[in-house]
Amino acid sequence: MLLSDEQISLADAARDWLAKRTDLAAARADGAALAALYSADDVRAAAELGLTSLLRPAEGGTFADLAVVVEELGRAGSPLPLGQAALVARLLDQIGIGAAVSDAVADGAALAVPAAAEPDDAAISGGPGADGTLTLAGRAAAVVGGLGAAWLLVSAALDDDRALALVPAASATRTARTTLDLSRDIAAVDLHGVAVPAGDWARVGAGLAETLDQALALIHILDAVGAAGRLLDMTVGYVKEREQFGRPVGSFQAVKHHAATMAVDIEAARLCGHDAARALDSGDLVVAGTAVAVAGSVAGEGTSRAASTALQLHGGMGFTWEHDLHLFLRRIKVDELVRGTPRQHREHLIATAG
Amino acid sequence: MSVDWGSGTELGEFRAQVRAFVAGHAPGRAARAGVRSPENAEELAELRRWIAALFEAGYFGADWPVEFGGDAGHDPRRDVVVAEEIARARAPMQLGGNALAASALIRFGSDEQQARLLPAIRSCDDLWCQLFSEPDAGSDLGGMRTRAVADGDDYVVTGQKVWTTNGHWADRGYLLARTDPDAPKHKGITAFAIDMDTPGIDVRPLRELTGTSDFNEVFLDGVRIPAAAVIGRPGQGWIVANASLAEERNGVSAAVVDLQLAWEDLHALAQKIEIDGRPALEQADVRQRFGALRAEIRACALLGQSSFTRWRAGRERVIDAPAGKLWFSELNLRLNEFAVDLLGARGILTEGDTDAVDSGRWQDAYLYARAYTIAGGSSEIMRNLIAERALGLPR
Ligand SMILES: Cc1cc2nc3c(=O)[nH]c(=O)nc-3n(C[C@H](O)[C@H](O)[C@H](O)COP(=O)(O)OP(=O)(O)OC[C@H]3O[C@@H](n4cnc5c(N)ncnc54)[C@H](O)[C@@H]3O)c2cc1C
Repeated sequence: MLLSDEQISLADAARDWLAKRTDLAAARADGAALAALYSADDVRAAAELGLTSLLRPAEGGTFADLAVVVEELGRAGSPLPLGQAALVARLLDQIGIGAAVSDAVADGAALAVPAAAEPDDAAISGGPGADGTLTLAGRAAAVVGGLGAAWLLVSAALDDDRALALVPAASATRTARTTLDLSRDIAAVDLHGVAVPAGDWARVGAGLAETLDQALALIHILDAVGAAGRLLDMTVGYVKEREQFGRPVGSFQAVKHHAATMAVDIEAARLCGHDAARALDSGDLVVAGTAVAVAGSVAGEGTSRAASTALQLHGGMGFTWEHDLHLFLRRIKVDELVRGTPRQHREHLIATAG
Repeated sequence: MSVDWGSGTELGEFRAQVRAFVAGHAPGRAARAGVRSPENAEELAELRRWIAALFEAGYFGADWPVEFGGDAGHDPRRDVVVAEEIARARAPMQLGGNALAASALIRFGSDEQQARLLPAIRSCDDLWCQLFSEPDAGSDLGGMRTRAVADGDDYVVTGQKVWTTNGHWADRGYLLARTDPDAPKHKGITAFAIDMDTPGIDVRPLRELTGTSDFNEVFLDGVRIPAAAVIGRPGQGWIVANASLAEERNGVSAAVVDLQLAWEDLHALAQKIEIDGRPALEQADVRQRFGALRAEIRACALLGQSSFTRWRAGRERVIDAPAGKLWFSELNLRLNEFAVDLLGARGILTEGDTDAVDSGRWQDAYLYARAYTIAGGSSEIMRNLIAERALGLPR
C-alpha cells in the first residue's frame, strides 16, 4: 500500500510543475471565462510531462499512477482536466477509434474529456442509423473541462449495450455552469441531434462503460483528497503561526484535536482512493465497483468535513474571498456531489452486499 | 404545510400587529443568509427607512429610556416577538452595530452623547459599525493594539481594525482602543463613539468568501477625536463592550425562526426533488434527517427561551448564552450542508445559474454558515467558556 519510488517522483514532478503553473488568483477574477483558466501551452507542457498519456495501454500506465497525479491536481487547485483527458486517451486506444485524437491528447495538441449523464439523471442515448451513423440524445449536466476541451467522449446507452462516441465539442451545445467551484470549468453538454459518423463510435459492453463511470468517480475522489491535503497543510501552518492569548492557537488542545481529526479523515480517504485505483487496475469490475464506492462514501464526507474545519480554524482570515481556502472548500464540495454522491456510493455498497 | 413548532401564542394580538406592519413596510430586498450589507445606495436608503419606521412605530427602542422614545411599561417579551416577526418575513434585522452602540450609550453614555446620538439611531440617519476586532486580536480581543493617545482635549488614534461589518456604509464607529499601555490587558482599553468621516480613517472593503462585500478593513492613522467621544470612563472600555455584547438577547429567537423557515422550505423541496425516482422525502435516511433537524430546532428554541426567561428572573447562568450560540450556529451549518447535499449533483449550482435550485439560496447559506461559528466568539471559545466557567474545569 506504499507508493513506489516511481510514483513518488511522478507526484513530486507533478507537484512542482503544478505549483508553478497554477494561478489561483485567476479563479477569483470576476466573470473569469473559466475555460481561460489555462492556456494551450499549459496543456502541451502537461503532455510533455506525460500526464495526459499516463493511462494509455502502450505506456503501461495504471490507475494507481493516475491516482497520484490527480491528487496533485486537487492539491494545486488546477483547472486542467488531465485525469479526464488521460482516461479518454486510454479508452480510445482500447476500443480502437479516434487514434488521431488519442495521439493529439497524448501530445497535448488538444484536450478531450468524457461526457456522461450524472448518475441520477437519464442516460444519454444513441440511435444507430442505416449508414452507420449514431445519433445522440440527452444531456450531461456537469462535464468538468467541457468548455476547454476540443473533443468529448460520450457515454451513451445503445439498445441493451453501451456506446462510446467521440464528438467534436463544438458540435454539442455547451453551457457554462455557475457552480460552487471557481477553479475548474464545468459545462452542461446537450447532445441532442449530434450525429456521430461510423468509425467515430463503438459499441462497447456494459463493462467498459462501467469502468468509465468508476474512473470518473475516482478522479473526483482523489481530487478532493488532494485538495483536502492542501487545506490540512495550510491549516497546520496557520495555527502554528497565528497567536492569540500569547500562544500559537495550535497549542490549544481544541485546535490540535480538530487538526488531528482532519488528518485522520484525509488519511482514510486517501487510502480508500488509492485502493480503488488499484482495484480498477485489477480489471475486476465487481471489486473495482466496491472499492470506488467505499472511497466515495468515506472520502466524500471526510474531505468536506476537513474543509469545513479548515475554515473554522482560520477564523475571519479564512472567511475572505482573497484567501485561497474557499477555493479548495468549494472544489471539494463539488467533488463530493458530482459523478456519484456519498449516498449513491452507499446504495451501491448495500445493493451489492449480497 | 404548516409545522407546529410548539411556539406559544403569547402576546398574540401584539404579534398580529407586528406581522401586519412588517408586511406593509419591509423592503423587498433579496434575502441572503446572515448579516449582509446593502449592495448599493438604494438598498441602503431602503434599509434606513425600514429601521426608522420600526422605531417610529415603537417596535424598536421600546426598552430605551422614556426621554429617548422608550416605553415605561415595556414588556421585553415584545422585543422577542418583533425579532421573530422580522425574521419570519425575511426582512432585515436591526443593524448589529446600531444595537450595540445604542446599548453602550444608554448604559454608559454622557447626557450630551445620548442627546446627540440616540435620536440619529432612531431615525437611522446614523449607521454604526463595530470597531473591535484587529488583525492580531480576534478571539483574544484583550490583545488589541490600536492606540488612543491623549493629546490636550483630544485623543489621537492609530491602528487597524478588521472584519468591520458595514464599515463601508457607516456614519459612526463604536471603537475600542488602548489608552493605557501599562495597565493590565483588559484595563487599559477605552470605548469611543467616532465619526467615520474623521480625517485619517481609511475604510477598505473586503470581500467575503460568499463573493459579497460585507466587511472591511479600517485603518486609523493619527485620527484626532475629542475626549467627549469617550463612552463611559477612560479604561472602562472592556466593561462597556461586554455589557453591550451581553444585551444581544433576541438573536437566538430570530435565528430559530430562520431555521424553522429553512426547514419548512427544504421539507417542501424534498417532496419535489427525486432520489432514485422517488420524492427525496420518501427515503428513510432523508426522513430521519428531517426528523432530527426538527427536534434540534425545537431544542434551539427552548435554549433561547430558557436563557431569556432566566435573564428576566435574574437567574441567568454562565452556560445560557454560549449554549444557545453554539447550538444555533452548529445546527445552522448542519442544516445548510444537508440542503446542498440533498440536491445531489444539482447542489453544485449557485446564484446566477439558470438551473440553480432556489436561485442558489442553499449554497449561499452553506458558505455563510461558518460566519456564525467564527464571529462573536468562536465555537472553540464558547466551549472553553462553558467548560471553564460553567463547569469549573481547570484552565
Ligand atoms: C462574517 C464576520 C463578520 C464580522 N463582523 C465583525 C464586526 O463587525 N466587528 C468586529 O469587531 N469583528 C467582526 N468579526 C470578527 C470576529 O468577531 C472574529 O473573527 C472572531 O472573534 C474570531 O477572531 P479571529 O478571526 O481573529 O480568529 P482567531 O481568534 O485567530 O481564531 C483562529 C482559530 O483559533 C481558535 N482559537 C482561538 N483561541 C482559542 C482558544 N483559546 N482555545 C481554542 N481555540 C482557540 C478559534 O476558535 C479559531 O478556530 C466578524 C467576523 C466574521 C467572520
